Amino acid sequence: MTLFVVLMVAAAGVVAAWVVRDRRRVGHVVGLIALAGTVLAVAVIQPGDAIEATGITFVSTPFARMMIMLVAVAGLLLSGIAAVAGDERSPAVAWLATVAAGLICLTTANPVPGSWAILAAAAIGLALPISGIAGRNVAAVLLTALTALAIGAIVVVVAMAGGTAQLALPEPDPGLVGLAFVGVAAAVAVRGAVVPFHRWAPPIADVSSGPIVAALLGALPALAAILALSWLDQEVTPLLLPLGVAQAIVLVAALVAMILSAFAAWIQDDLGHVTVYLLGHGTAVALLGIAAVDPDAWAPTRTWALASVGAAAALLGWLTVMEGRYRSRRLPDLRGWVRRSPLLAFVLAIAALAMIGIPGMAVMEARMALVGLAENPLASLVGTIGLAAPLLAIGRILVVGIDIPSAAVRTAPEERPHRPPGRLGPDLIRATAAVNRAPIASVLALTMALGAALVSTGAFDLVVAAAGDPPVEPQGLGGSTSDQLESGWAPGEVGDP
Amino acid sequence: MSWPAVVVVALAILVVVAAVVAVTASDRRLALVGLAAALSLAPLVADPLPDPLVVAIRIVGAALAAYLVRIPLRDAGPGRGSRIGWPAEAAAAAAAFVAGFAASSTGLAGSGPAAATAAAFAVGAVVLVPLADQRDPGRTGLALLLAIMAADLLRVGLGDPGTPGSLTVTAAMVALATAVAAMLMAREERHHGTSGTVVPGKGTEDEP
Repeated sequence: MTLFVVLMVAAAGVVAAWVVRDRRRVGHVVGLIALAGTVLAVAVIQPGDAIEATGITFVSTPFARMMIMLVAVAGLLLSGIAAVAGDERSPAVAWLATVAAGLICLTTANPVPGSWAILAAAAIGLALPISGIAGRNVAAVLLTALTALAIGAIVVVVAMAGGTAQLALPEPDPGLVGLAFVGVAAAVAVRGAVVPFHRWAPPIADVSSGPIVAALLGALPALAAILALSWLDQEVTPLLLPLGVAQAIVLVAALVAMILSAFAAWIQDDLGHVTVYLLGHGTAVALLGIAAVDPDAWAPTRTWALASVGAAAALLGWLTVMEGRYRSRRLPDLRGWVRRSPLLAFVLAIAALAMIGIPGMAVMEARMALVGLAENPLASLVGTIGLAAPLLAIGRILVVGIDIPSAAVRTAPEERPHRPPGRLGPDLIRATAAVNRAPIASVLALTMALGAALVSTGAFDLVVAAAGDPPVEPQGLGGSTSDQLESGWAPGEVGDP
Repeated sequence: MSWPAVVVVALAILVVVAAVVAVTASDRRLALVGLAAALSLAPLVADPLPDPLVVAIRIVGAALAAYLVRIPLRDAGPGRGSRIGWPAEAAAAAAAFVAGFAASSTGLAGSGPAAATAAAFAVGAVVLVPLADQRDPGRTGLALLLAIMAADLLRVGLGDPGTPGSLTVTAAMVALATAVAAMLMAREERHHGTSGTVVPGKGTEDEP
């Protein structure tokens, strides 16, 4: 029943926040209230809760609860940052839709509903910043992105359905199963804007806000990767089919994408584009887990997914505050920003730590485990270099930041808090909040980054949750169970690491 | 409950005809009628038939998706329609329909109803060009919705009976229609000279 409450709260929040999206202040308030309500609703989810609604059986697991909670909290903090940083529109609609998509993805055994739900959440997120803004090429940018994401969803649904139909045969054809496997991996790459499937994503960063990009390219690709992994683990891995060529294609594509994404992030001057490439790099790491077709990939890939949501939110939270403060995202305009905003420099460093990790952190162990699954010395070497490569881009941003400040940086609001003159009272509180928007935004971004780093260390039993079982429908609950078993959609038979 | 096989085939043909109308008509209203008809009839191309509640939700979703796209298209001028004409598009769809049936009969395309696979192939064939050639965003938007419908038909043809997939595809279509409507509205605003809006943090966005 608690799952139903979360779904209803998130759905009602999407509708309410969408209706008031053009009213700046009301939109932010409604979005924050809806996300806070969703966080509270997620907090009461009990692992093992199960409901059936219109043929769909939802079963909660510790991993699902943790992931949905992470998405909801990340959305709440990013919406707060967007409100304080002065964004025209609240990103709450996109994050509430992502919560709903996450619930469908992570609590149902059949991967098809989750695939459509991810597309629905992405479409809502894409529609949000566009309507009402008549800017350069906005319609063309959106149309390209919608086409790419719809094709990604179509490919994954058809590949999974086709692969499952083939696997249900007495003697499945490894070639056709391999084709379905490559299709599923390619769809994840399109969703996550992994090089070379990235062309649609950087323009989205130009017409959208950072928090929305975090949902589109951080949280939703993580859900897509988990969905693909679940399908592989339940349907393909147990049959031990010879998929060598297909696996090699996905592995090489992932390794090349890691290097190219990091390189692209390094040479970009637009911080919006830098973050897009860094998020694409993260999804390429997840492809290593998909390429393995190995039960050993289960826990590290899901650990990566949990950590990546927080890291993406922390990175885009930092970008949103930077953009709000300096009114520019171009690195040449931001020369000397570290001198002006040392707290934000600390936020970026912590976000990088949450994303890449250091030895001993759960995220680092998971990423190294995924590289190790390649079982090839050259692939492991390239993978290890690829894992560390984003440091180049982040290092460049920090180095530019310690240069002599540019005019845009010198005239930006200070990070230090101020106390306006006046006697203690409501007016003083309002005035204090008004003149301290910059430090408040920095503190929120710092909170986001520290939370993400904490998750990446493996706190909250993250690794245990990631190693847990996929959702298994309880006996006698769902009408769909027998249908699924008959058609080969047998849920949760395998998958325990 | 099941339809007789001939009824399933007839429904599949109707879906394809409606999709051809949606993609080839330069009259926007006719194209929208075709879209609504295709999306509404598609869930009936199944064996066994889905739960009546699911069918009702699918039909309401189809109407909502068509209505959302109608809002920006209502005042837009006529579309480009098909560049090769509807007879050529219909012929391509018919060929793909036969190919879909053939694929099903060889066992390549799963254990679901062959008519669903055939309709998916046919609709897939007619939406390919508008998806690739995006000079008429309204037509491409309709093609996107039809492509999602074709994928769902193929899923049914491949033997996944799932009601769950059938319901969430409705949510995806409505969300996609919302995004398509937003995109078309942004395009209209641009054409009516309201560009130059200040985008927060990005300065003024001017025409290229």
